[in-house]
Amino acid sequence: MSSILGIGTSALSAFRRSLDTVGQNIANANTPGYNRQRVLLSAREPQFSGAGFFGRGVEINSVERYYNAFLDDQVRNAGSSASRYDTLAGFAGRVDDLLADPLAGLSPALSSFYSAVQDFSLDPATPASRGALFAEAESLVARFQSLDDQLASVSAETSQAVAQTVSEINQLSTSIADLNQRIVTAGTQRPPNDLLDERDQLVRELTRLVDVTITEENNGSINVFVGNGQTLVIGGETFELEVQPSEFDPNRNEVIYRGLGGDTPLRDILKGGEIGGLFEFQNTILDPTRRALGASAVAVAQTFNSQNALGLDANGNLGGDIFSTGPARGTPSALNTGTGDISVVVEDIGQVPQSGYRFLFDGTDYRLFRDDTGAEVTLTGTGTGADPFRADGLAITVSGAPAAGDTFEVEPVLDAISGLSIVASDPGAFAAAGPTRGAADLGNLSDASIDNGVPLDTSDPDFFATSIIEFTGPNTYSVNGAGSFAFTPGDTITLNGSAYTITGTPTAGDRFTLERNTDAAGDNRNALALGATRDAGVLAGGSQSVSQAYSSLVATVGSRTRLAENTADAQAIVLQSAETRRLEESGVNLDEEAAELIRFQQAYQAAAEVISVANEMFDTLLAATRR
Amino acid sequence: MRVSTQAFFENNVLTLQRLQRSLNDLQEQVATGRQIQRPSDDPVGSARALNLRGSLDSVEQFQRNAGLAESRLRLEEETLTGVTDLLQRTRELALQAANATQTNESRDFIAAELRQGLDQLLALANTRDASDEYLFAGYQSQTQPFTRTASGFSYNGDQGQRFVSISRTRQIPDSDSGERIFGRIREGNGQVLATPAAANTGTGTIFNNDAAGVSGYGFESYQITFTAADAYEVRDGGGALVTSGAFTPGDSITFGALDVRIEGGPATGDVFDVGPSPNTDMFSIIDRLATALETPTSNDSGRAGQDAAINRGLEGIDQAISRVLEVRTGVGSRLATIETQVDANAGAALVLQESIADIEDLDYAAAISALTQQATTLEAAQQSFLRIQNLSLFRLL
Repeated sequence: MSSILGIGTSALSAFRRSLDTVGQNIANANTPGYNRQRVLLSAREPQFSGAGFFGRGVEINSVERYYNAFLDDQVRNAGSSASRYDTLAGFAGRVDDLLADPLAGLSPALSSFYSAVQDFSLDPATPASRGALFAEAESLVARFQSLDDQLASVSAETSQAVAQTVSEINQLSTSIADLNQRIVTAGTQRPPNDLLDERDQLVRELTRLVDVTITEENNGSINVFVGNGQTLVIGGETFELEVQPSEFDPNRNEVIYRGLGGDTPLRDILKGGEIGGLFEFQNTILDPTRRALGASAVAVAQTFNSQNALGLDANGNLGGDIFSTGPARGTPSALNTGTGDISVVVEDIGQVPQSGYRFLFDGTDYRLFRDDTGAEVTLTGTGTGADPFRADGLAITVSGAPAAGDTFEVEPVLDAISGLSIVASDPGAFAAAGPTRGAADLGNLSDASIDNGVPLDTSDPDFFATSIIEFTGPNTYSVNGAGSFAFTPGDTITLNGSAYTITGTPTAGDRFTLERNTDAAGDNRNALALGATRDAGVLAGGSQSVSQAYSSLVATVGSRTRLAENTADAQAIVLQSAETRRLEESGVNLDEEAAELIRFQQAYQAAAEVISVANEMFDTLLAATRR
Repeated sequence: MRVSTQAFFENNVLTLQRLQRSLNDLQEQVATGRQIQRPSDDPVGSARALNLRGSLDSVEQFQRNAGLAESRLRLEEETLTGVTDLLQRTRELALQAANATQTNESRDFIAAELRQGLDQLLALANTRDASDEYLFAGYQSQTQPFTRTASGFSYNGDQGQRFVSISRTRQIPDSDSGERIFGRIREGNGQVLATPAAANTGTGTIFNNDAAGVSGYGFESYQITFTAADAYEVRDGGGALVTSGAFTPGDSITFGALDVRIEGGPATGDVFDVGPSPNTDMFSIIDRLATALETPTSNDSGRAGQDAAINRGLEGIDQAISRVLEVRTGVGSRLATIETQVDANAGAALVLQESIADIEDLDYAAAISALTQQATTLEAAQQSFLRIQNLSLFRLL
């Protein structure tokens, strides 16, 4: 009698628990990270009687969650990749938009600047064309700066995002460690499903931020590692990542790992997740773009200035600098122990690769390493002011006394635009005229003529001196009445730092006067040469003009962005399908739960019926014995 | 296969979002008419379009340059036409003056007209262009190139010639220096000048037989001296005797590479100089001619001197005319070059524009059809989602 009651009661309790679990599943149908649960039932140990084994009802073994570690792993990996490329594509898209914007891009500003140079060469005497050129030069500088400003603000934003991500990583680590402790406390006999779900969810969130490796302990806790084995969580303990200013640049954040064995910089070690995407964006898109624009600014400034110096400005003096750019960066590390400092000068922008450098003193030698390839660059020279170290178009001068192991950061062009300005004070500074002129004497017997000279070396002390070439025969001439020099028709005569060409056949007694060009308001020789700098190959080893370099930058950033976007799209689909597969196994299906609900409800009713039958049996028995 | 309720909703939302995004991209393309919205849409195409646009800007600038050069060259051409007309008129007047029937008085009238022409010529040489710069001053475009001085005329410009870019590889001068046009005319036949000495007492006049120039002439100077009315000797610049001979009027005398003819009756002791042509300016040639005509003559010897001066003037004017013609031919060929280049540039611009359009412009037919297709898909997805999410066992419980 009591056995049927016991069986019924055990069934009632088991089905109520099962119904509870169905209810829990329905309640958490939309809870992120929730794995559906089920109650594991088994028949109680039977009781032996002479007639055999009689069942004693049902018992609850445990409540289990549907969880597949392999599928979860796939979701974690896909999530890490997806958020890496999502972050990369998001930031890359902004640089991409910026570069080719018809209003904000560099191309239109370059075009109108060089058009103004041409207009200036058409009409050098008019103040209007000079004024227009000056205004265009100013707007070219402004365009460079607005591009750089926007890139700088993207850079600041990524630095901030790195700091934000690191703090999220640390929070998640703490939460995981906390859950580890609670899971260990709960013991391994019966799985604490909801705690495990919560921890799995936190780990999934963590892998969205950074790639991690997980190992599981027997006591149910997990260990979390980043990079190449740096521990984030071990049992209930956490190790924090830290953001601190770069040793070279206090405005830039670096992520370091404070481990037992000292600090480890993580920039090149952390992969995947948001932080991997951020570092990848900084290293492959943002910094290269800023360097390319910086190099363009230096190229425009240097070619224009050096051509301007070969002509005469509105006041009849050799042209001065029009543009000035920010100096090349050579910063000692904050960790240096010596007193050494370096100064860096860009001598040939065409030779400078788009990379930063590490310059270090190893105790005996100075060595230079490229950041992008890590390759060592051979230095020539001795590093003194008279004989600087030279490599890749750069000149590096060392001062003070560096200690062994001291390092310096070299960034040839990264600061060029922030320091870009127009140093010329007024439109008169543009040099339109050639510096010298030549003239054949009116009394010459022959019709040989001389050109106005091509300037070669304006530092020649006699550059502006008046000289007279007098032919003493068809093939000999004297200069200012002295000397006798051989002449072959078609030769150029280099004199006073300029090269002159005489056409025709001069005869004895012919005189040619070479002198400083004066009052040449209509002379546009140098203005034409200034205009020709537009197409001059000054970048990429002299193979690209500034506008070509810019369009190849646009192509590079465009294809990197496209790659990032395509990969992000693909990874989103991979993530979606991994998540779908995980949910196929672990997710709640409401229809299924509805069926379960009915199933257990009916079972519960049946169990209740068993008890009612037991009751009736009891009543029957009582009635039988009352008589 | 189980379908989790959460995955069902999430996947449907993602699908709808993806469809909406591609619909949005298409809509952006149709609205702007460009198939490249940002470089990442077509990195190589964007870079090419940027380069092409740069080339197009250059070509358009070259067209502007060519327009300006053309207008300056047209002005030069017009001015030079005026100069040629004036020089032709001057030549006619000089020929008139050479006529033996002229009197001192009539020659005065001719001289007056010559001087008037001279003033006009000077004005033409000092022509200014649209931006008020002197056309013929070389680089000294703000300095009046030709001025009258106490001793004649002076050129204040230089030999500079301004170039203008009309294509990436072609630069052409948009002017010529005044010195070349007006200020550096070789007298005589362009190489050799033969003149009677001012002190001659006879009526001999000297002519150069080589009107077109001589070859092998090395700028030597000679002097023909008449030792008697019918005998001459030729000495070089160093005084050495080159040749001598008997003379009858109209005889040609040859020495070195030269061949001259003396007509009329030279007197004993008369000297004729033959030497390299000096450079002079047009204005001085006309001025000297007018001065010679204004000088009254009373005897044959004076007339012979005046004839020689008229003759020298005519020779000079011929040289000036051919110089102006030469420069005009140059201007004409430069104008033709510009015209050819402008056509070539226009063709290039058209090709560039087409190439840019090929890269950037949207194929509307394809885009609209894709848009319609995407919209239909989105609508179907939305409707099927609504239908399916409605099916739940709970609704039947």
